[in-house]
Amino acid sequence: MPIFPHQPSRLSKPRKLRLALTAFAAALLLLPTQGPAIELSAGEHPSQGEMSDLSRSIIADAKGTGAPSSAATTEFANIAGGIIGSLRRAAGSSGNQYSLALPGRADAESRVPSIPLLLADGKINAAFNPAGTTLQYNGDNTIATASLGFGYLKKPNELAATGQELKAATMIGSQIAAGTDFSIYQSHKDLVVNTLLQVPDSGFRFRLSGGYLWGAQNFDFPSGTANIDLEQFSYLFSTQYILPKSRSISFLQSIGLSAWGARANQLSNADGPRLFLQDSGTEYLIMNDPLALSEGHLFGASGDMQIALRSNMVVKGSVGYEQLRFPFADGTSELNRKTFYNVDLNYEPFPSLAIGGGYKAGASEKRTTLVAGIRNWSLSAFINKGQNGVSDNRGVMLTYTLAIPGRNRQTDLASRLQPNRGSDKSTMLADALIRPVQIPQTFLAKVDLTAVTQVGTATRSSAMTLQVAEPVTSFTPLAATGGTAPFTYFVSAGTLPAGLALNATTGAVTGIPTTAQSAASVTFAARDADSVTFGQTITLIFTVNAAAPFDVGVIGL
Amino acid sequence: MNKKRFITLLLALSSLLIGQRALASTPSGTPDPVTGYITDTDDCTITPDQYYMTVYRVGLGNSLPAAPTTSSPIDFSGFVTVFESSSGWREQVKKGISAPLTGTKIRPPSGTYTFAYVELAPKIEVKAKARFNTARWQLINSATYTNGTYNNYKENAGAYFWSKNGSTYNWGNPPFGLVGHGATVDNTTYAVTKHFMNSIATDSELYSADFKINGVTASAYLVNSSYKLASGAAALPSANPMGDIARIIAIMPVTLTVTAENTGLNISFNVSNGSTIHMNHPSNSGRAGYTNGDVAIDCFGAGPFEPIITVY
Repeated sequence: MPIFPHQPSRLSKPRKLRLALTAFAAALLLLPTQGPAIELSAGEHPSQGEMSDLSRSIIADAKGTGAPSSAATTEFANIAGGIIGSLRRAAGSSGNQYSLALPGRADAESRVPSIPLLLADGKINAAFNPAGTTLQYNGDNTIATASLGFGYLKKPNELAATGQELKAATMIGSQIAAGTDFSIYQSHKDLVVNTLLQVPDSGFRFRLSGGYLWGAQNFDFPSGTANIDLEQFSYLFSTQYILPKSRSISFLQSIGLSAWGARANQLSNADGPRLFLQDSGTEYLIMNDPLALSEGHLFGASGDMQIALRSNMVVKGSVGYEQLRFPFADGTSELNRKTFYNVDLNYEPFPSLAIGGGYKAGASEKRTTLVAGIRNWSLSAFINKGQNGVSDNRGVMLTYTLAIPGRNRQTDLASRLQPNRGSDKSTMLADALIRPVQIPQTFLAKVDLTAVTQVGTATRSSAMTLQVAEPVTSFTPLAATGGTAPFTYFVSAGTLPAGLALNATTGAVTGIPTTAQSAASVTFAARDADSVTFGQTITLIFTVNAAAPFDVGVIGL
Repeated sequence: MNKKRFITLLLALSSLLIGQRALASTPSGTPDPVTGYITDTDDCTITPDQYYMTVYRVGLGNSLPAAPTTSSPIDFSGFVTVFESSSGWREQVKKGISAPLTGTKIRPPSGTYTFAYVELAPKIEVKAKARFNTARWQLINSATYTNGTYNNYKENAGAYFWSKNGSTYNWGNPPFGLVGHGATVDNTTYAVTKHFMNSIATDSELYSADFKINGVTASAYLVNSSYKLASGAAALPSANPMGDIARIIAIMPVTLTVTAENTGLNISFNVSNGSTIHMNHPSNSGRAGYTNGDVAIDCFGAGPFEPIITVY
């Protein structure tokens, strides 16, 4: 049984939607309709969303549609889906057993060692490989995988090293597929629930996806880095029209329309608000940093199509519009409008070589993904340039895949990727498992600088050297604003040099030192009328030198 | 004679209160450039051989303190003390030579000061001598003094007069025998005469006086040991001419700027006119050789203060 990740206690505001999604995902995983299916694999999931079509290709092939998947898509899917060590079921099995064998490798079964953990009737499989552990279940109407592995994912100010993924999809009746993709990263968790409806024989397929991303991320605030808890809701609605199959080499396989949106929500402000000093040149400005993020609102729409350029090359592209708006604390907002486009290329130049690439550009992300696979090895990498203040991230993964003897694929890549216009459990289940590329994988939030306000001033000096009998020019070590006036200033630590006094009302220090003293620190603090202590204190080191000799005499004229 | 002494003291106080160099308007005993004799026949000032003052405190401030009364002391809390000696420091003031006071010296905070005060013993000590060009008489004693007429004078026995050990008081008749008189100075009797301030006036008790110096009020007070306004003084020949007078305090407007670079402060006195030769012209009711209006020498008293407070 899958174990849901521990939910950090910092996520203080559990969301109904999150619970609903989680419950739905759990229900899918527990569905006994066609027998349980669990796959455990290992690895990070650096480019999961972008690889959806490739993954689907694999799954579709696995479900026995007679459309074998390509080597490229398989390798890609393993990486994208985090299934480092995919377990392939034996080929030539009965109709309710499907293979995830390396596509495009006619001799794969002869070269890849058998999986030692083939259980029961072959629906439950497990494997260990250098990158992790995978457990898989493939049923007639249900697919479930789980993975645990290692990889490299570079996000701002953090290095993630582990990840787990849990996937499940099932048919509800013959025309509806529901699935979930739940990924657990070191810093956050990502849950996507998909529902697909295919109208029989019409070629129309509808998709509704909901996403919930939650966790923590470091942000560089003016007061320093802080780890902020966030959540992000996403949705996607799309419709797809599947064109009749064509025997031409280059043909349009499907067209569609999609609309999506997302909204980030800041759940905590770490240890904020924090005060920090900003040097104005003449004094320090005491700034209050509430550690507030501008929570981005994303909306996009696109037209989609899938084209088989050649029998071994399939491209899926989307062109549309995306806008990302950041509202700020001062009432202003930043609206970023961008043309949205996404291209996924799947190419099998040779049966043993798979090449894939994807590029997504929009208002929130510019993500480039590349993957190459040769035999059991594949290397994938992605670079995501966050747009309009959204954080960057990048990742890379080298994967070695163990495969069990599988069924030879008899069809080409283009055939494998095209969905059926009628009932098509395999591609629907495959689609129900994947994470739509339109749903952002990054928190759409950035530091709201307008929330930073000045709440006082402080002297720039850190040490003061005085002299007995030399009057101190009135200065104010600490001046606070905000809070409930009036402020009361006081010395919280140390003692002012003899002769100096702190004006409790104004915070000014005046006087004439009367006694020499060595360096001693004095800390100035303030509290407001509600006895709330001001968060910023100022410590000065006072040294008082002895007065120069001064003689008094009489003289005659 | 009393009137002249009163004027001299007022002038002296005025000079003190000015706080800056103020030339005394009192007559100056200018020796004849040829003979070196003093030709004055009325009070005049000369340079004493020795001039002593006893200083208790010196302070700087920026406002006048509330005047003392017999029930409330003068308040110097607004002043900074730059010198203090609880027992007072008696120092000889020498022309052109700075004599440091011994006591507690405190650097005043840098800044500008508009008032200064000096707390002194109510006496000034002088040791002086003079040579006159003509005969002078000397008051011998008061036994024959009747109705303002002195009957007992010693004739001129020489051109030299000198101060002798003793005390004179500002209010009251001068005592007898405070000067020596002869053809030469008798160093065995040549000594310091103490001039006590038992009143600001010479003909009545007066313990405080205000003056306007350049439009600014300056004040002088005779106070007791509690710094309250004094009382109980009496004119000579009273047995207790000082009453409870313990100090004379002079508060004067000044314009002083003290900076961190300054290393000291001097109180300058014009010792060139530091002693007043008090003369009289008594009538004679029978003294042989004395002609009415002849000049008699009473004593060598204090000359006018001419303090100048400077920082260096």
